[in-house]
Amino acid sequence: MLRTRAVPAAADAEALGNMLRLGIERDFPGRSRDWTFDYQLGAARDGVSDCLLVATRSALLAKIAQVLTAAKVRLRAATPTALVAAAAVEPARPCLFISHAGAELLLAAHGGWTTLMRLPVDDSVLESRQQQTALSGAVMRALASQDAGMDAVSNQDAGITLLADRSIGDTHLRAVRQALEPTLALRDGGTVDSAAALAHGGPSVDFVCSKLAAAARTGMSRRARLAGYAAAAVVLLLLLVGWRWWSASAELDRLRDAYAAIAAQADALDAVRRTISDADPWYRQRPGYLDGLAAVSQAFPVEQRIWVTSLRLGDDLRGTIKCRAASKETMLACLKAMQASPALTDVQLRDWSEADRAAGIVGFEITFTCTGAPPEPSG
Amino acid sequence: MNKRERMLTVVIALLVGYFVVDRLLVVPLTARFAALDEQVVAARQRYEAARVLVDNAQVLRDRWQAYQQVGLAAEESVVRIRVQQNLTDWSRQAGFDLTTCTASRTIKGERFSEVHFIARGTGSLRSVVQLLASVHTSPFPLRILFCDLVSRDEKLDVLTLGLTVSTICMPEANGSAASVAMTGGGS
Repeated sequence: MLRTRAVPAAADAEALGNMLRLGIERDFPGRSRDWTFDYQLGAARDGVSDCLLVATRSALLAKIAQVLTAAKVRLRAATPTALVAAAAVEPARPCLFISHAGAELLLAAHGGWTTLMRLPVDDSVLESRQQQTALSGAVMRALASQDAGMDAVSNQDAGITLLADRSIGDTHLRAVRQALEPTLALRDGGTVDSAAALAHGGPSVDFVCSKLAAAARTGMSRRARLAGYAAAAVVLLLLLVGWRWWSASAELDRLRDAYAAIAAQADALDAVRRTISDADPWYRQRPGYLDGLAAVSQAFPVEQRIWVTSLRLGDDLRGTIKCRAASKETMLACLKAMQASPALTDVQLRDWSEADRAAGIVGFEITFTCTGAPPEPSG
Repeated sequence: MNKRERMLTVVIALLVGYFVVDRLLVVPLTARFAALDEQVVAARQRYEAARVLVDNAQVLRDRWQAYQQVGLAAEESVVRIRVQQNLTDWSRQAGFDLTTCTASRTIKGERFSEVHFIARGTGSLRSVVQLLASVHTSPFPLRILFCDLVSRDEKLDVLTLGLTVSTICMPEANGSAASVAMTGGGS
């Protein structure tokens, strides 16, 4: 996987890395964590350099590292074999690299690599005539899709350099060449010992020690960022709790100080207030006895067949009235009249008896409470 | 550890962490905050009540002076004589036949001494009402506790009145303390 980007030639490594990371996040949103990126800078022209951005699946790298670790081998570098092999071609020009793993096409422009494509053929391309034909078609399609590829096709003098890994025998290489020659102008690049070339010169692109390692470790940094946010939230929460405690304590201290400043005066005044409050019943006009008596007298029916024998009224305006009436009906009428009075409440018949059975006179007792409101003037 | 086991571990860790934090941090902290808030509320109420008293010191002073001017006596003997004398005078003016007027008991309170009187007599309804009106508008602290009216006949011509009244006197010490509070503390 790769992209080519034009970057300022004067950009330092850090600025270039940041620039490329931004580009990666923009071009591969949400997928950048699944890939490991590195880049190779081309030659500068007019203050601009072509930057070849290369990527491989992080899972694949991890699996390779796991296998090597199990074999007690330390993985020091990982790079596309085609780039190592093509490093031997000077100046950079289109290359087709054949290995047991398949075929890769490299295109160049202005002295730098611009395209690295893995062609869709399987590892039987060395033996299968059908796969070799498929390879020819794949190369043509790849060339047609790239400007640099079109240049390579149109410029028959230049042609495409055919490179092969040293482990491939001459027979196989010849078979591939014969399959491609009818459609492509090929230059013989010979065979390359990729492992030796890598050991000699070191990789220009290395996924293990990527120059964009920070981008590859986005997951880790995100975790660290989350941890940072969580820590910041905890600190903020602690600060809020502390501030709340401090403000409440300060308010408590302020109120205590303010109270202490007037406590003696307030205590003395409170004693006076209680004294005044206790003395109030002897000074105020309530309970209004005259109002209570007037209310009872107004509510009591005025007729010859009923009369009061005693009336008792307390300072809480609760009273008892004892009466006699010529009949029970008169007694009940009196009770209803008193219950209907708005100046009296809680009017209840407490006791009644026949005072004079022969004359039909009944004696009864009614309890009541005066509301304290002045009675309405009688009409 | 597969993904499901990892998730279960995380969930269990979160639950345990939640309960631990809740028990060790949140609950005690909340309780302490609640206690502090209660203290603040209580202190504020106490301060505001005190502030209201101080702000109304002049009103209390005026009212206390008014009470003192309306015959708040210091000696119990003085109030006994005053009540008996006044009840006798009011009865005579009302045409009520006052047969008894005695001090029944004295209740010594924290601030006042309360003296009860029982008065009995007979008279017409008019004289009873006039006597009660005189008590009601007494120029010194006087309070009716009970009033019993009994009619001798059906026409209410003669009523028997039993009256229990109460008055107060303030020992010199209490009155002086209140005065000092009003003059010294209220200014």
